[in-house]
Amino acid sequence: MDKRFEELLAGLLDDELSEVELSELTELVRNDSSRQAELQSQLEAAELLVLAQDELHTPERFLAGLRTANKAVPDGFAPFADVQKSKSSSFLSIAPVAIAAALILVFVFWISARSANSIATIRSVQGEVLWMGDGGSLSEPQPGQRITGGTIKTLSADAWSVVEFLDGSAITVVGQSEMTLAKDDEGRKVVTLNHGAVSADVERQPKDLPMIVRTPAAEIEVLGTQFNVDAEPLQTRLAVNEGLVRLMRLSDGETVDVAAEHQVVASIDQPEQLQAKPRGTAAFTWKSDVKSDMRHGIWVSDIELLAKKLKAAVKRGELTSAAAMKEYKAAVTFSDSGSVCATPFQESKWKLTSRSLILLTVTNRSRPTVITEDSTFRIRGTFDGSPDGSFTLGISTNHRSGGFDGKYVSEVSVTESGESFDVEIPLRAFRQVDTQLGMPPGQKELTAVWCVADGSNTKLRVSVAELLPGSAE
Amino acid sequence: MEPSDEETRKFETLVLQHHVRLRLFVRSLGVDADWVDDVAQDACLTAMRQWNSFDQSRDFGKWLRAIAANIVRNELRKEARRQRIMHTELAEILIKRQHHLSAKAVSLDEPLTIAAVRNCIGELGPKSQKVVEGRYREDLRAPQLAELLNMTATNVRQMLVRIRRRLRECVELRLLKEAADGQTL
Repeated sequence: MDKRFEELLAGLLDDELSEVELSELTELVRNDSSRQAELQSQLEAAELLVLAQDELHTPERFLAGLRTANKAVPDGFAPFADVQKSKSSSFLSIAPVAIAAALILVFVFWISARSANSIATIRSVQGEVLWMGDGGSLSEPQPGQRITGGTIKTLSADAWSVVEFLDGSAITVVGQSEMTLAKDDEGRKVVTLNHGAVSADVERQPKDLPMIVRTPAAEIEVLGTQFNVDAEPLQTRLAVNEGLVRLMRLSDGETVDVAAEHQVVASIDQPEQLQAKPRGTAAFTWKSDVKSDMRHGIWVSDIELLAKKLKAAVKRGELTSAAAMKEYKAAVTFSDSGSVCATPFQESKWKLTSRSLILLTVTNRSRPTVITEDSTFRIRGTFDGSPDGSFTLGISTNHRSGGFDGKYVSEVSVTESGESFDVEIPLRAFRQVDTQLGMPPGQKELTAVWCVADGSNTKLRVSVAELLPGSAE
Repeated sequence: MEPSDEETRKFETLVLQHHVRLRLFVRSLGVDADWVDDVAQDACLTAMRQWNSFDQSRDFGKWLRAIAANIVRNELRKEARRQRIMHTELAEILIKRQHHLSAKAVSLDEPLTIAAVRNCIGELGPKSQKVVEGRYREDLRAPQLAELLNMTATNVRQMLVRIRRRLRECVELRLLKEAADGQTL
């Protein structure tokens, strides 16, 4: 086995290869069956070692997880329905079944015993939400469900869930987010926000046992306060509404105390001094910068779009290559204009329907963006593939100086399928996701804007999302 | 319609029998280590749904693996779900190769396989055993292991390649021997 291949193989199995090295490895194995065999053999052996060394991967646990997953599938799914008799009977050993059943019983008993040690209760669930208990099983969480520890995933843009610790401290996890809850050996509440957004109302904690909120970029120490956190892979934004919160940037250990009405951004790739800044006066208008605001979707530059259109025109014989090239060269600029596109995907394995989703964050501005009853949203883009020509425009809001307020949606009808649209939707056309009621009066902070279209063939592209001012500002 | 207890038992017994082989198969298609469980579960859920159309005289394991291969193929088509795959092009090559391979002769039934793996680990030298434990029980990466064992990260990775190669041979040999004469592993 040659040295370079072996080096790359070793790196692959240790999750250490860069994209360039992965491509190099791919080229090395592309037409070489012996290298392919070696690669597969190494992958299989690695999995065997995982199974032999890691007690979390027993077949009994796998089966228990499968049973829970099957139960969590929505109504209408009927496993084993109308089972046909097999053409030949197969030999079934009773012993493995009995052993498996006994192990599963022990597992269920273990889980039951743990429920006495619950640390929190799920208070509300909206939209697509999944719960993975610390036993590894997946389920759809139910309001009132007591939980020991584990991970909650809000999968859809219109989803949220409120989890309340036994002392009344409540964490609302919003949008497409993933949060793990636990109590450490010392009794501290530990919330790990792997990605997404949470809003927290924390009751006073003992001085020596603060609540800890961890994100990929920061660790936040809380003694009792209201604050909101947005976590991305490289940066975390903390906005404090009440009390005092200490944040530590994980890349260098630098800490900062963040007081009420202040915010801070901890970025692990920009090592400038951490500084809490006042949240600033409200802005009543907002215009997206789709490239930097995008949290779900694919950014495409205008020039890339033009190139695709020209290629298609050449292919159809409507344009010569020379004319296409001339038009392309004339259009090339160094500007960063573009749009965000969405392709259909399944939000979770439990829902077989596909959706296209574009999600834009609004909280990455220095001032809070505020909506009033007279505000209007303007959306520009193209839309195709929906039978009824409509998609949903949604917004997430926080209370003006507090935590999560709610999510609101409005249907947007596009009359000409495949054509570009430019629509204005007044705030009074929005309704609450959970109650279907209109938006209550008063100012709210806008935190996210999203567009979602159902269907496996929908093509949605947004070039501009904008909040136009109301008269109440 | 609720499944009968007998059918449920039959299905679950088959899943227990084929669990190891399924996971190895999924991993060998280039699925990221952290997502093997998820893809294997997807395959079993799909098999549950299609159980009534499965001819039970046929090879369940082969059917289950074909379902898993389809799931991985679908992953490759869907941009948003490729995170479960280590590298798209590499996975495409591995899937194509798998398609042309016939079933392997060695059975990988539980719990014999795991016992064989553990015995084979026991045959490794003390340092190799430490490397295996560190990597697969403690989830340490090569640089961390290198520091602990006073080696270079490159040496740790090379050692792991050799260990996995030796382990695969050792396990297959033990399982073949078991199949041939039924002796204790």
